[in-house]
Amino acid sequence: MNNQALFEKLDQTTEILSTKLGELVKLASLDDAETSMGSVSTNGLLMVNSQTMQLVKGIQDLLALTRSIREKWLLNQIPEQGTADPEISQDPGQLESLLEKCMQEVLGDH
Amino acid sequence: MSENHDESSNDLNLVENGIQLALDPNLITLPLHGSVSSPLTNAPNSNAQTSENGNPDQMDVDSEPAQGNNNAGQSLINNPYGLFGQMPLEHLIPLVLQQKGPGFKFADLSEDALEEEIEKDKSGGDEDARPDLMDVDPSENQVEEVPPEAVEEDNQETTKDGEKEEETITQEQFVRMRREMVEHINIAMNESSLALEFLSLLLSSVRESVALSSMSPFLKKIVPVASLNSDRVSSEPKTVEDQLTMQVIDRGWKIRCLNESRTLLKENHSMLEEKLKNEHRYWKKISQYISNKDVIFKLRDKSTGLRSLGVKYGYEDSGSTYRLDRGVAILKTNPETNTLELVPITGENSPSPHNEKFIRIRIFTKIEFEDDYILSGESSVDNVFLNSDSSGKKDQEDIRSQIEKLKALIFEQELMYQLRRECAQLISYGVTIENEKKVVIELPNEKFEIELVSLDDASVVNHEQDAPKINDRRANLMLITVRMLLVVMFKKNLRQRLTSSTRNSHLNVDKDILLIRPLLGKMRHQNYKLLLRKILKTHVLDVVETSTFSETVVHPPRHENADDVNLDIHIAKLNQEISTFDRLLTTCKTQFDVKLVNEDKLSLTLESPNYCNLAVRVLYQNASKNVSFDTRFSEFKEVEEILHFIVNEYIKKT
Repeated sequence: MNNQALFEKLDQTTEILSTKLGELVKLASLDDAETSMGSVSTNGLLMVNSQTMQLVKGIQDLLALTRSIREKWLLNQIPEQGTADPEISQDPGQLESLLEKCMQEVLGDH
Repeated sequence: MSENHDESSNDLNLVENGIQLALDPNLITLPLHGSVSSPLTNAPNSNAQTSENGNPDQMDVDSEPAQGNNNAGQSLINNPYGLFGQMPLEHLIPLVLQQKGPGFKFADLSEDALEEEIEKDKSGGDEDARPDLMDVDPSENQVEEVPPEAVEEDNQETTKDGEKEEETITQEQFVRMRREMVEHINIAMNESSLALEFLSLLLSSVRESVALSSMSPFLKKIVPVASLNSDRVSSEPKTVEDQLTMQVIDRGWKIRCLNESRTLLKENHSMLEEKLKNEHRYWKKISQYISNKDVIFKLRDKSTGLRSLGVKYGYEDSGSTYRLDRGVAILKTNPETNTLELVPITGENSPSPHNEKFIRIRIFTKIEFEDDYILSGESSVDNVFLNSDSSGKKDQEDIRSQIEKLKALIFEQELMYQLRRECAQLISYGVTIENEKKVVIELPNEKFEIELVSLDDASVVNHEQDAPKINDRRANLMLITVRMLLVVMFKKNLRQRLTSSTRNSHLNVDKDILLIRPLLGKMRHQNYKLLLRKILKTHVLDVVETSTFSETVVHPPRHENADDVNLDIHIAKLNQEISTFDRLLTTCKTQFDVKLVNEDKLSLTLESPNYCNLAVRVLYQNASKNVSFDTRFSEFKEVEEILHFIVNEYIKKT
C-alpha cells in the first residue's frame, strides 16, 4: 500500500466509525414513535448488534493500518549514508602485519 | 299476449329475413320435422297437436303471416331457420347429430343424402301440409267464429305459450343455467372441501391420524401437519395498559441489546487494548534493536498464521554458499515470558535444529619419547555465545545479541561444514575426520583437533575452572585465522557475484575452500624450514668453514590491479580486503642463501606447492669452474645428497 492508499483507508475507516457510532446513538434513543411495534425493537436489536460489530471492525482495521504503516517504515528504512563504522579501521597494512604476527605465533616461530 | 305477439312478429321477421337470406330454408327445416327432442322441432309437432286437438290458438298467432304470405307455404310458418341461422355452429352441429340419432357422424352428412331426404319429406310433407292448411283454415274461421272465448283462451294460450316459450328459449338459457349451476356446485364443493381441510388441519394438531384421513394430498404436501392451532383471540382495541406493557417490553428489549452491545464493546476494547500494548511493545523493541543493516522482511508465522517479521541472519547475501540452514528467524513475542524472541526457522534438511554449537580448537603436544599427546591449548568460548547464557537474564530482550548469537552460530556451522569438505582431500597430509565430527590435523609433534562443540557440553561448562594452558593463545589465534579465512572465502564469492553474472552456488573444494591448507601449509613449511636448516648446517655450514647463511621469506609479487581505478568502489574495496590475506593464502617460499668465501653462490629455495607439498630448488653457481646447478627436488634425502656432492666436489676443493 502506498501513502495515498493508506490515507484513503484511514479516511474510510474514520468515516465508518463516526457513522456507525452515530447510528448506534440513534438506535439507543427511546423514541416513543418507534416503539409502537414489537418488530421494530427486534430489528433494533439486530441493528445495534451489527453496528457494534462494525465499530469493533473499524477499530481493528485501524490497528491493522498502524501495523502496516509500521511495517512500511521498517522495510523502507533508508540506509544511512557513509555506513563506515569508525571503530573498524580499515588499514590493510596494519591488518597484514597483525596477520603475520598471528601466524608466527600459531607456528610457534618467535 | 303482447309479448307473445312480439315474439311471433319477431319470428315473422326472422322468417322473412330468413327467406330473403336463406337460399332454401326448407333445407334446414324439413329434416327437423321428425325430431322430437328439439324444442323448435316441437313446434310443428305442437302444430300437429293443435291441429289434432283442434286448437286454434296457434292458428291465431300464425294466421296473419300465413295470410300475408300464402305462397310461402305453411311449412315455413314455423321455419326454425331464424333460430337455427342465429345459432353458432357448435350448437347447431350437436343438434343435427341429435336429430339424426345415435351412430350418425357429421362427416356422413352429404348433399345427396339430404336431397333424398328432402324429396322424401316433400312427398310426405305435402300430404302433411294439406291437412295443416286444412286445419289452418278452419281454425282461422274458428278464431273468427269464437271471439268471446278469446280472452280465456288467451289465458290458456299464455300458459301454453309460456310453456312453449320456455321450451323454445331455454336451449340457450338452459345451457347457461346448467353451466351456472355446475359452477355453483363446484364452488360449494370447493368451499366445503376447504372447510374440511381447515378443520382437518385444525384437528391434526390434536388427533393427527383422524385428521390425516380427511386431508387432501395437496394439503398434506404443502402444509405441515399440526401447523394450525386455534385459540380464541379477542380483537379488542389495545388498552392503554396494553400499550404501556408493549412499550415496556420494547424498552426492555432495547436495553437488553444495548447492554449486549456495551459488553461487546467492552470486551473488544480490552482485547484490542491489550493487543495494542503488545504491538506497541513489539515495535518499540524493534525500533530499539533493529538497525537498517539487518535484513528484515515480512513473513507469515507458519505455526500461528499471524503476520510477522522475519530476520535474515544467515550470510547468504554476504557471499556464503551454505544452504543447509538458510539463516532465517522469525521475530515474535514469547507468550509465556512476554518477551521478544528470535526463533530460527529450521529447514527440513538443516543438520541439527536448535543446536547451539561452536567450534573449538584444541592443541595437543606430543610427549617426548612417548606415543601420547597432552592437551596443551584450547580455544576459548566466544563471548557472543556466552552472552545470552550467563548474563542473559538482564538482557533477555536484546534482539541485537540474539541476532549476534544466531549469526555466530550459523557461521560456526558453516565453518565446520566447509572444513570437513576441505578435509576430505587432505588425508594424505595427516588430516582426518574422527567420529564423523572432529577434524584432526596431525603434525610430527603436535595434533590439532577442530570440533563443533555444543554450548552445554560438560567440557565447556567447566571450562572456566580450567587452568590456562601454554597453547591457549595459539589455539585462539588459529581459530580466528580460520574464521577470517572463511570471511575471505565469502568475499571472494561476493566479488565473483559482482563481477560476473554467473553465480557460483557450489564451491569448488580444490580452488575455493582454503581454510586448513593455508594454515597446514605454513606449519609444514615451518617444519621443512627447520629440517632444511639442519641439513644445511650438517652438510654445508659445519663442513665449510667461515660460511654463513641467511634466510629470507620470499613473498609473491603483489599483483597490483591496474583496473582497480575503474572498478566499482565496492569491488575495489573487496579486492583490497582480499589482497590483505594474500600472504596467508599464497604458498610459502623461503630462500636460503649460503655465503661462501669466494664468489660462489649457493642458494636453496624451499617451496610448498599446493600448500602442503615439498619442493626444494638447489642453485649453485661457481664462476671460476664454470659450474652451475639448478635442480629441483621433492625429497630431503636428495637435497642432502646433492648438497653433499656440491660441497665435496666444488666448494671444498677450492
